[in-house]
Amino acid sequence: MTAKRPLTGCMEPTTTFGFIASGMESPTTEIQDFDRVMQLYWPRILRFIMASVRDRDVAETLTQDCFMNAYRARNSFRGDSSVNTWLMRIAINNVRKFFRNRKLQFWRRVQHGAVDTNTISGRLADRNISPENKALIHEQVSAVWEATKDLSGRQRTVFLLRFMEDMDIVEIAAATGLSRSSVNVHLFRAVRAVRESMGKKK
Amino acid sequence: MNNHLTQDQLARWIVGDSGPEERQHVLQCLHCSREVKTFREAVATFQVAMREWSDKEVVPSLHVPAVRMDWSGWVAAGLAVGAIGILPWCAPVEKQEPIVATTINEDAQLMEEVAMHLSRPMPVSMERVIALFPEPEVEENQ
Repeated sequence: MTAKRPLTGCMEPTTTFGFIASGMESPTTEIQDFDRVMQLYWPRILRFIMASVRDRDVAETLTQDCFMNAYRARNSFRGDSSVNTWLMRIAINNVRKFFRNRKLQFWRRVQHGAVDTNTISGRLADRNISPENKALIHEQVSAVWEATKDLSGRQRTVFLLRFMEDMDIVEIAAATGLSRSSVNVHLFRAVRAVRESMGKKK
Repeated sequence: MNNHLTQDQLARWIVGDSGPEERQHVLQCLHCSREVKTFREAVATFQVAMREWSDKEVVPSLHVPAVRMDWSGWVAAGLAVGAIGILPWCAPVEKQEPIVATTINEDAQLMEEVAMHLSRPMPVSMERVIALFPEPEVEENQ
């Protein structure tokens, strides 16, 4: 582990070649400073997993697993994709394994750390905004949160990567291992389902 | 404009997979543009809320033990083997030398005592008895 360096440039590079635009080093160099990688990517991996599994405790555990896996495999990282895409691929695999693991079925039903949308929208509503706007924020967050709950695993993953992480189709395809056309189809279905769900609540 | 976009067309527009006619329609139709705007606003609020939430979470530091060869075990084992190997040669020799020296000393002392005993004209017990008798006087005249 090397000493921490100040976080400069863009906090969250969003495109595959974002590291060039933001003046950051190449992915293979970037991955060597793992402390910095954690500081930079932990929040986005955590929120992606959190929105996928909808349980805070599980999300934290899977995020830790994700970074441990990445740390162990950092020397085999060739830099074909950005660090963000690589980490996201590991996170997606961890989420997939979690849902496949039948041993955890019971715990998934219990969901000790199940997230209340007040927790998420509450932090945003802490700002000095009117009660009406706070209510609107909470309504919008709850609507999307509930709508993504009923999506299939792939649809939810693609939806979150596109609309929560601002990843483009190429990046989503690289992170999920799907073809671009498959990503488009899943995204289209996800948007339609989310809009339907939001329309029903009105 | 009565023919609004269908749910599929709106979804395609949001994904960015719509044709020029649909795009033109959304620009001109208040109802359809509001549909798109409602969705975008909700998703944007959700995105900001999730980012605010995750950015305030504590990022743990990764404590990974440094990977290195642990020589201490091997060193201890080597020392133990060495000590076991050396003991048969070193330890008995150190103990035997004093034993031999002591034995020789004791033997020499015993031999001296035997020699002294043999050189006496009479046994020690008799010497004490004889000492009780007065020594015979030597005649000066003789």
